[in-house]
Amino acid sequence: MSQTNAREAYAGSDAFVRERVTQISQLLQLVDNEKLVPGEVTHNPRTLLQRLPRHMRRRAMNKNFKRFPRRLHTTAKSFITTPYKKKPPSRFARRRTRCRLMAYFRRRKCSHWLETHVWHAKRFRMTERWGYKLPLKSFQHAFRPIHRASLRSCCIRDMSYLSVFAIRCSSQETILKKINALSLSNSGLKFSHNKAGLHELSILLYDPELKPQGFIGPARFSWIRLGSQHCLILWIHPATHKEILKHLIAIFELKPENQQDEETKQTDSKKIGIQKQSTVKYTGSDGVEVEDLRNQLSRFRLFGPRSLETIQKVFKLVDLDPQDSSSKLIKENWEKISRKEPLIDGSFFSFPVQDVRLNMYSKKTHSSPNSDLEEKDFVGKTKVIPSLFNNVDRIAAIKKRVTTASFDSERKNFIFNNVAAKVDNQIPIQVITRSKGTGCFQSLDGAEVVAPSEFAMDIWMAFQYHACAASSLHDHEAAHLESSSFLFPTDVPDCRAGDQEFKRIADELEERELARPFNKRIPYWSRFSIRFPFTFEWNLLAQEWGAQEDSYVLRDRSSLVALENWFVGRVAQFPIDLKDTSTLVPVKIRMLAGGVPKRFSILCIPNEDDLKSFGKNPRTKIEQPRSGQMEVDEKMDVADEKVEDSEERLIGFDSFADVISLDPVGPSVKISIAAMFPKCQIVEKSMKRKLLNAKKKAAAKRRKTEAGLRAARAQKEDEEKVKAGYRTSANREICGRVVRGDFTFTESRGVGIGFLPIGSLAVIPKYKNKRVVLVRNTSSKFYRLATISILQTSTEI
Amino acid sequence: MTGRFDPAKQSVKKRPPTKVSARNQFYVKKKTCLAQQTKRIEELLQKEFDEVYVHGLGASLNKALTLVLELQRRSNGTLMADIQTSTVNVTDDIYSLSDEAEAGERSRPLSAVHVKLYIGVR
Repeated sequence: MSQTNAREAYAGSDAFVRERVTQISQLLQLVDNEKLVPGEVTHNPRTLLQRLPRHMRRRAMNKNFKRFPRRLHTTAKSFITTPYKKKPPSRFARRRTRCRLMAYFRRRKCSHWLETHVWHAKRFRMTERWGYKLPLKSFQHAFRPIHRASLRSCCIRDMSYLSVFAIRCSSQETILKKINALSLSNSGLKFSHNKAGLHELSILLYDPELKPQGFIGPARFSWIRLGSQHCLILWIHPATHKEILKHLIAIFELKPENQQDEETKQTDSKKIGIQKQSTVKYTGSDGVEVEDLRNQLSRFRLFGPRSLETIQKVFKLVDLDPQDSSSKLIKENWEKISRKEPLIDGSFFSFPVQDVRLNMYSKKTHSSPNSDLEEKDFVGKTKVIPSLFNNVDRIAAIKKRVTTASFDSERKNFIFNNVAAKVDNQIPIQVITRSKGTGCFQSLDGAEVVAPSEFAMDIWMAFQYHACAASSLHDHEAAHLESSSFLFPTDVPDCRAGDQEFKRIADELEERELARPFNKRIPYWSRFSIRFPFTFEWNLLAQEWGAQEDSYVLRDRSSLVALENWFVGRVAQFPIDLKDTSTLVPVKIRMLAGGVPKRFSILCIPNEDDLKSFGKNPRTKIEQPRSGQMEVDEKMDVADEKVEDSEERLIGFDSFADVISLDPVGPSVKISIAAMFPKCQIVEKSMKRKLLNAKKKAAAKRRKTEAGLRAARAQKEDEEKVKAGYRTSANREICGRVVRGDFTFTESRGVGIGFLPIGSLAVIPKYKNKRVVLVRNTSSKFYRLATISILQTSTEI
Repeated sequence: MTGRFDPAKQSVKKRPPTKVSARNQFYVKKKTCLAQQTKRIEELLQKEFDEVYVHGLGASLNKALTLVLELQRRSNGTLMADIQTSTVNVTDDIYSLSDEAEAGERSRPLSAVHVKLYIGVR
């Protein structure tokens, strides 16, 4: 560029102003004249607020002119242009019953709340599962106090999320003929068992067309009589509700009824409890009626040796007519549960009881064997005994319920007998015993109480007053591990509900992992050779062990017994019936010398050298080499590792500069004292901006290059993973995975439950007459020794 | 129902035998830790009770008697023991898992030993 051109590019400021002096003076006269406040525009601050000295300024002056000094009110009024917003309604107004009720309904739209939701939400972390808001983890207790309570006294869990169907027909055979299609012989009980209706039993439900693969889920059933009709009560898990309903509709050729109960229509629409009493009914071709009683019955499960005692303390029988035969039976049953004799698993008893609020204590007390309460004769003698599954009886009982407000107001006036006289309704409840028998750990033993959901909160509070520790989903999971049983659907792989649960957990874990900075993520593949850290991929594993089709869990009782006999060495020959190689065998692992298996841990087959080293020292840790692949040469590995390490360090400080270094030593870099104390540096504003911009540019550039590098690395990893396969992806051959594992208080060691493809059983070696495997967690490089045995416990809800 | 059951077609749940729940009643099981139990009984005899009862059933009969002997050995002759034997009937619930097998209850007689340990001088 020439000099002339360069001069033309700049305008001289002196000459520019000189030419425009007149224009500037005219402009100044307009904005800074005598009429205006002197220097308002050109020198002083513009707004009225800014003109006030600092000590006179108040918050919200620009919103409310009354905040200004009184002498400036009139001036300020014209200055404030923003209209004053209306004050929001007061907290008192916002928390009126109607508003709270509306807010409550709004929140309930997303997922259903249990009756005890508000009580739980104050004390537990809540989570959404299977369309319900459920307590996940207590803020106050860990599992251990719950475990102790289940061993010595009693703890309680709200299981009201379980769904229930009532299938009615005048002929029991009509129901049995069709519904038996849902059960599978040899994998558990059938509906034809217990026709007399003495017990509530557990059953496994299958898709009628896909047996034995199409497992739906476990259920509990009992037969009762409702007048002249036989009624099958089927309790199921909410995750399987849709699927089972679909099958029931297909089996019984059901059509939905649109009519509502008359009682429901007449009731006050504001009452939440009555609103829910609209039952969905279906009628079938053979006179079969199916009622969906979901959310209408609450089910509380009590764990511990004092469960039945606590139930007796909480509930009081209504005074029954001594001459009536059914009353005699009820009294006999009530005495039966009060005896110390153990009852058969699933025995159920129906009782009409008084309102539980009458028996509530003023102080929390543990139920003890010697402290009997005085029985007070508040209520008149009853003749008609209500049934829990009869809609008319249930709604009549709900209608008679005295509200908590009126109950409390009466109680406040010390007119207790008046309260008792008013509370003359009887609550129909059902008590079910649960027992696994001796020889197993009894963390799941106890009893269950079923009552209309309208009374759920009263009953729950009564149990709390009797010092029943409330437990949550986490405790439920831990209790299942203590008793070595799979929890449905979290631990069950071959059903739709289980698949959905596995996917949810995998998504959650993956999201949590991706939220971490790049260098703080666990290098599952590059460091630990774990191909699937958040999923199990049972089908792929089974295929690599010889399966032809999709895998499913072996639940055939006779096959499991035969397999167990062969596995422990009672029988020499492998059971011939088990030709299907796509089955997964449920197993239990017990750590031999330290270590705690966790969910997703891999089960591997030890080689001879491993067993020898374990023979010398059972606490030996076998390490997974860093390269991730099968062991090649130790020396080579060490050399490679050194090179890799030095390369990683360099990369860490050059191209990965935005990540936080985890290297405690790092390469030696000269740091100037001035750089260490930036406050001492005198940097001009413009310089600061420049430095900042340069930094930003460099970061953007680095991000771009890093993204490419990471993508390339990820692609390389994916290729490696595919090449390595699943079975041979780690240092030792993978033969199975752990679905639930932790340290158990019962066995004082790490215990896990999981599955193995049936093809892998034959290669599991023996060590000191026990079958052993190596267990490694997904974020650990050490293999540990564990014994393995076949589990025969069936899945229950 | 009597006799053996087929584990492939039936499942059995053993009901626990009836117990007297009191602080001076000790039921010895196969899993009972003898050292700890000895300590506990000694402490009870020193502080609270003049007599304790030790019960053993079936396979744990031997273990119960070992516990009693150990306690006597440690007491330097101040602890006396009265032994009584009996037969306890226990009940098992049998559930059938196939149409062929039967469901029901099974009663088994088991030998039991009940030892009263009390402070006294021979």
